[in-house]
Amino acid sequence: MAEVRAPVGGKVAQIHVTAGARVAEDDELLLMESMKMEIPIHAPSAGTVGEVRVSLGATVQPGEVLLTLA
Amino acid sequence: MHIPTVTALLTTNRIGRELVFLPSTGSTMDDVRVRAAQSTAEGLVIVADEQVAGRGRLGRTWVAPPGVNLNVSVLVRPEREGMKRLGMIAPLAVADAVAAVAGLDVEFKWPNDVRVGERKLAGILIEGEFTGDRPDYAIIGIGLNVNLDTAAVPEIATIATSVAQEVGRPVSREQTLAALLNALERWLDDPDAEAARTAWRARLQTLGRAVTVSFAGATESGIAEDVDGAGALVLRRADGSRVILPAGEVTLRPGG
Repeated sequence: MAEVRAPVGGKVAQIHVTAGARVAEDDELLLMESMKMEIPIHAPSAGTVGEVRVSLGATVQPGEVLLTLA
Repeated sequence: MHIPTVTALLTTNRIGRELVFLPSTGSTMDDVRVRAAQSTAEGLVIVADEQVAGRGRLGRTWVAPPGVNLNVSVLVRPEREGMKRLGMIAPLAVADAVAAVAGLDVEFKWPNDVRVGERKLAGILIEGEFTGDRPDYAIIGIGLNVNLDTAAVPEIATIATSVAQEVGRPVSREQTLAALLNALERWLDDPDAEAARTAWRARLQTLGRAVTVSFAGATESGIAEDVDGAGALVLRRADGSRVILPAGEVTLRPGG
């Protein structure tokens, strides 16, 4: 089980996947906005999305788990 | 666009030393992204006369007729602290460029617009790529209305302007691009970490105004009081409490 974490603090602007979705390595999972920048969060490996732990519009801290990948 | 003219005017060491011109492309952001994965260099610039799938923030379309504006994307690789400044130095580079080439004075609307009064002159989109928590690269995308006749584009005629429209004469896109890239590298290499924030803040027309900031369906209202070191907006609510907004869409409230 891999945990995909926020590289910086910011806001969740878009969520592209739901639990159970199959993703390929490097697929964009969600989009964060921070520091006046869009930060796409990519799948570190292929797998299945376990749990999406954040909601749209949420403020997240650096290192916070955004979702899990199995 | 005549690229040798641009190159001859560059004073940079890195930014624009690899300069690719495309008559037409989907999005210069995507073109730079493909190349960013293939090399570790900094400073690649791709400029297009026409983008058929130009992007603004959050996937919005960016409308521009071919051959009159600058649609440009720049690959940079700052350290973590430098990443925080990109959103400030990109609009500052636009401000410096249009001042140098046309004597035009601009303001900024938080978070990313360059404006003359209430009209948009340039839009900026920055995409940051991280590997884990380590900054990998960022792409600075700038759409600058140079010689656009906004009356010819009904959907933006009342909300946009161009350098030429403001100063009453056509302006060289080559000179403007060179000035933009020169200014960008100057700001990137500025050793004074506070200088960009101070200069950016001074042009922020949003400060002091009554605004509503929306993000993903939620809104906050108050007075736009300040910006923090990462460019986040500090909003003072009606009850006196403060909230720091790292992102969002600003609309002015009546009387603001």
